[in-house]
Amino acid sequence: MNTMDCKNIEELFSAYTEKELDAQTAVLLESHLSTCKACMREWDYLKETLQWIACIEHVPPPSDLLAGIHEKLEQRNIFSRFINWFRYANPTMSIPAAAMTVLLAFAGMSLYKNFFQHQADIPFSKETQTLNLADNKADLKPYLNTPTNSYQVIQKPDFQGFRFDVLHSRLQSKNSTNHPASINYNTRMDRGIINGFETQNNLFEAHSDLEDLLPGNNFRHHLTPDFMITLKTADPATRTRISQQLLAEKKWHPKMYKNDLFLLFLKSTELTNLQNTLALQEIGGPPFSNFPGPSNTDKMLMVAVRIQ
Amino acid sequence: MKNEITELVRAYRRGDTQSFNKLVLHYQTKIYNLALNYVKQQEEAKDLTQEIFVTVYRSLPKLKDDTKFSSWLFQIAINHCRNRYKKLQKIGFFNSLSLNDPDFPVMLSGGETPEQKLERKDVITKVQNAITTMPAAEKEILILRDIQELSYDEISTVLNVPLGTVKSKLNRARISLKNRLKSEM
Repeated sequence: MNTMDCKNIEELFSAYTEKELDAQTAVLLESHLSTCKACMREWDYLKETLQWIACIEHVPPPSDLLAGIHEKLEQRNIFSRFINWFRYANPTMSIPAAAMTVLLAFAGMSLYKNFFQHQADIPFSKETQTLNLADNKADLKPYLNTPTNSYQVIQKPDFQGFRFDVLHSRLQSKNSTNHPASINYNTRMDRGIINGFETQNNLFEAHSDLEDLLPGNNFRHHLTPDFMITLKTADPATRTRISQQLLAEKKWHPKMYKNDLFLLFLKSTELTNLQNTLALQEIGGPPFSNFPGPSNTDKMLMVAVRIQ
Repeated sequence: MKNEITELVRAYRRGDTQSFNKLVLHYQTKIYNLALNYVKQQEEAKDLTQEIFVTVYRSLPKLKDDTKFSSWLFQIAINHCRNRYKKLQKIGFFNSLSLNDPDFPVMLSGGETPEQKLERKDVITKVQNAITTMPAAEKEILILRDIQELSYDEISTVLNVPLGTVKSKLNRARISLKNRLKSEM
């Protein structure tokens, strides 16, 4: 190549700035630039652009960033404990565990309640647990029907128990001094962060962010929400507003799927705030005492909100 | 510095949680600014950065080569940023943000008159806005190279593309940015 034309010269600009062109090509480029005003102008623009980029300085991060990371890690820990509460044994569970399941299936409501109260004291002490909840399937409750907005609350849709499949469930003992990350690695099913979910046969198939980042690992679980709230609105602004409000409320651990489906994990005491956010007159369902948990205020609920 | 990072990663694996804190403090500015370039809003960038480090904390035991921590961290960060950007875009989050939003800060060093600073701030804001409106693939490579100052090899690993592709894409991204800014310079 003895000369250069204007057409392809820009392709060499980056390599030229990084001093990656061979000597011969660099000389040809410089020679062309010295004789072609149009290309020289483009070269000047590029140099100026790079100079401006170089002037962009890093913004200092907030001072509480690290503290917030530990707060989130702690929240995940609490969250995973909550999940442990509701997990089911997997289909390959041992015969004694299967027998236990059958016995429980025939037990009455009072026995259920006693069982939950007992479990509240020792939630993390067993290798595997089989929990079940009473099926309080309720009729659909229509709320606030207006020409443009209508709301309905479905409590436990097609409820088949709060299901969380655990392939293995080696738990962290209370006095464990193991490194948290190691525990996380070994018992990943128990500590997965749920950040995505999808509906399949009325169950939510949840998967953790680790699955996205580390393909090939099985982080999928099935969950059924305590409440499923369907909001119907013809107004896009209302839809956007509610979506933003739901996602902004970090203490509800909001997760979004496909723009119209949200999964929230919140304390039972937050239900009123959720009700206000969604402009619902009330959120129907059984009294909170029906939900298992260490205490009234600590009861965590899983709420699915669909905006149609 | 690379050896120190590797040592911190190994110490963390042995159970020293303080090493994780040191890793965060070392990388937080870069990751926070990377996040800021995607989500444009400080509170959102803070949350995104925290999520990135939470993932790093949880999945670090799976890192195969301790010496590749930096590339691995940026790989996780880019994936998180892309996911968050898509989610926010879906709900119209960016529609409510002004391109000249004061929440998208510009940092300037000293040594200039207030007028010069103001002028420079104005130009840098234009550059930042032009970058944020670039197509995702161009924007990513430009940020990684010209703002985050990663090496070609690191970018190749982070974006999982051959070295030659990195170079050609970077050139295209720079030319594209130049053309966007031409009318404003």
